[in-house]
Amino acid sequence: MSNLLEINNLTVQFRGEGGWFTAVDDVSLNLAQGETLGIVGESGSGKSVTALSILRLHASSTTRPTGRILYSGKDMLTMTPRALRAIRGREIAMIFQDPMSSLNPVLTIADQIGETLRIHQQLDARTSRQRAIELLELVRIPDARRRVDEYPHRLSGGMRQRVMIAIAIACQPRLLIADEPTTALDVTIQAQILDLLRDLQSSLGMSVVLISHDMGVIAEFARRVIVMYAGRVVETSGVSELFRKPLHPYTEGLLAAIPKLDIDVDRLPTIKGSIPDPTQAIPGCRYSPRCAIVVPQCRVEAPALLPAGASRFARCPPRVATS
Amino acid sequence: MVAAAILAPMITQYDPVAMRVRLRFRAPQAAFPFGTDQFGRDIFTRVVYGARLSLWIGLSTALLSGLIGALLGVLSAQYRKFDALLMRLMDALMALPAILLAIGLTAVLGPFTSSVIIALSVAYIPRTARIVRASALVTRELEFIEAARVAGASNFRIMRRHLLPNAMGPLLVQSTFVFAYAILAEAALSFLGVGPSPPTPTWGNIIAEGRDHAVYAWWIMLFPGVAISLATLGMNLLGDGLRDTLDPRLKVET
Amino acid sequence: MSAAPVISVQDLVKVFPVRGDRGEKLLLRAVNRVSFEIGDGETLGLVGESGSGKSTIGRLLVGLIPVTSGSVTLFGERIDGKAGEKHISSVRRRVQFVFQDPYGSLNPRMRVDDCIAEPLDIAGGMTRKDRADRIAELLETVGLPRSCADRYPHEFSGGQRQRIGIARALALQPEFIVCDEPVSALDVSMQAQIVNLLLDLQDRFGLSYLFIAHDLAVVRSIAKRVAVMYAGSIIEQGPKGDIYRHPRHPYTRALLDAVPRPDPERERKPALAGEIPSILDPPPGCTFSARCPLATEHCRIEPPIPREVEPGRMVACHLA
Repeated sequence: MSNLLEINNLTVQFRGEGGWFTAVDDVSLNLAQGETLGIVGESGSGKSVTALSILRLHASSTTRPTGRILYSGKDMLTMTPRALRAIRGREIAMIFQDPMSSLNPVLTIADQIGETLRIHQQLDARTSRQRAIELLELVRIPDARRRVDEYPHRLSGGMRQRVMIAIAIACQPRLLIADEPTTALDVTIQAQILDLLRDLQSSLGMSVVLISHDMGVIAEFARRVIVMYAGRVVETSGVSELFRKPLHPYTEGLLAAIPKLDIDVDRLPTIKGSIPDPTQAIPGCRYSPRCAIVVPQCRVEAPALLPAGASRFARCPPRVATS
Repeated sequence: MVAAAILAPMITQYDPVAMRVRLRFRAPQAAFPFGTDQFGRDIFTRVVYGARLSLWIGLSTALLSGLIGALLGVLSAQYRKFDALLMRLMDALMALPAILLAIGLTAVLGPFTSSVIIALSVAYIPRTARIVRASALVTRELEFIEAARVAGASNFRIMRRHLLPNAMGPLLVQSTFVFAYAILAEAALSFLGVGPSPPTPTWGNIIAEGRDHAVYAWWIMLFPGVAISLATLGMNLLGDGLRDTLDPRLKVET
Repeated sequence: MSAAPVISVQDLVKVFPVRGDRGEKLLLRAVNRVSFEIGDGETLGLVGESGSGKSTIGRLLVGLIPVTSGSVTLFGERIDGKAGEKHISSVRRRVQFVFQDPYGSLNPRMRVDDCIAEPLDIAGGMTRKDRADRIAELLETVGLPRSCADRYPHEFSGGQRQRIGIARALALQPEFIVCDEPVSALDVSMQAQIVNLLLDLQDRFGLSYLFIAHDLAVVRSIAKRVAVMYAGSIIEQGPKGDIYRHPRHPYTRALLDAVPRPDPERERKPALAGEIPSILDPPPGCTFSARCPLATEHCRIEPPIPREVEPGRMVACHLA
């Protein structure tokens, strides 16, 4: 079966004060129908930029993407604006991190859900309101009939996120991109939203790309994981293998540095140094200044993403060689 | 333009106020680049000397209204009770058109340059005070203000060290606009006969005098008019440019 | 716990007057009769979700917000109430605060050395040379190079700015520091560095901390005792190991279950239903009863009183 989404050699450059800099460097990934992919990384990793690029949500004057993003075989980057609009919201939907600013404060919930229904399904006002209520019930908002006429400021963060999800699934998309959907929410609410996303995914048969900096969220939600650092993919793996035996030193360092909830430690292990500035050029492997197992070769030659077992890839020649 | 104003006596050879009746109403020519007026005075000289006065008025007004506005704005942001009182006062002041206010005040203070400056400053203080107040209100909510309090900072220190410096950016931009308004307002005042009296040349009263002779000596009104436009445009562009450079730098990095 | 506590809070209450949707005057009970103690050199972790009141407590402790009722005693002196206001300045040297937002907690128009030295400048009495020496010393203590002093905050990363904020907090040689979500805004790899720094500083200077956070895992790595807050009250309190391994309050259990772990094989429990309650209109009885899977009629009517179930272990639940 062919892939639903294929990103081939995506490079995205932004225009900053000092010229163009690279935010995403030669990223490739595949997503099959019904699959859940997690993209994990810290700030500056390029994970959000990658996600936003799929739907071409960046300003064209200051962004320069190259490569191919194939959705069902069609290249998103060269599509006409009209074709792009037909896909956005209908076949590919996206939810964002901050539910406070993602909803228009002067429109009721019914209007906002209705917008996507009117654009893609040409429903009239009455039918769209009815459908909006159904969707709110689907995302488990209590008292949906009354809530649908309210304004966003009356709703809590968790509720607003559910509304966002309702808008996203309104046209039953085949792909849902979720960019840090629970980061701004409290822990108990986060658990509810993740449960909801899981249930919706299985009942609607959607593929989901989940972007997060939280390894725990990724572990509990994704089937396959891509780890990104400083604009590049450094490791790709099935979720169980990744957490059981991480290959790339960055993944390893990250897992070690996460504060543990279930055991006591004296001091947390750390990764020395800090995340590089995207405008800074680093010779060889971008992670080498911080790497615990660095060898001279790492600073000279930028490593390629090497296969390391069944559907596993890691951008670290010394590690792949010994595994 | 500023250079011309400062160097005025060196670049013109004519006395701006001396009258040479024989030379009246000469059209622009080599000896008189802007022509002469009804008293034979060289317009170019008068415009240049007028620049001195107009720019001086603009600068003083911007500085004075800026200083007082900054003080009031910061006090308003810090003390709520004072704020309520002051803002009502500012609202009342802003309800009057600046020109009318200025006319009223100069009528009281007399037709001197200083009166014009004071009158215009008073008219524009609400603008500068509001800008500083708005900036200070935002700054007050930031964590470093709390940090200063935990360190034991007094209200005075917070205003001086934290609120004011962070309001300088927006204030500077606003001041360039006040400068421009002041030049225009001064021209209007002089045109109406209020303000520095003839024979002292200001752009406004050159135009006023030229009104009666507009049909056959168009140059008397034209050149001061162009000067006003250029000065105003220049300050506006400066203000826009400043705003663009200052804004992103002051914005929080991510 | 050793000797006399450094910090002692008893029945602390904070009420904010607010305006409701229709302009009516309402009272927001952000902190509802909270009591705890912190010993010398000890760290108390204060955890809770939004609306729990934890950040408010932090600010009450350093005198940034006035207390509505109850007592706050720092180093034996009460700082609450009218009489307390005089004492705030005298205890100020000994109590400091580290803020959450590395971008908002430093004045963008002040150089790093002035930022760090502000507490010293306000206290006064230092020569220029002494001031410069102290700044250099503080920078070194937090692991930053001396050259940072002349630069401006926007030239530094989040983690570095947080270190600058910590340097500022150390300037007056305090004995107790309130840390309000000091690592929440940082990347994971940086969080560990800052937590380790705080632990090292504690060892070196004998500091006591009140560590406020919503991240339970971070709190586990730094605190010795933990207090869990919900809707303005502390619902469970005790030594860290006990709280994490044998939580007694249903909310604490739900909270621990809800945290995602980096373990794909872990068995997932169903999420706690319901919303964080509005503290504007608290229900009668236990504030958690609306969401509690074990709630009884009694729970909904009668608010539970905090009980000491073991020495040093407190729970506010009828069923614990």
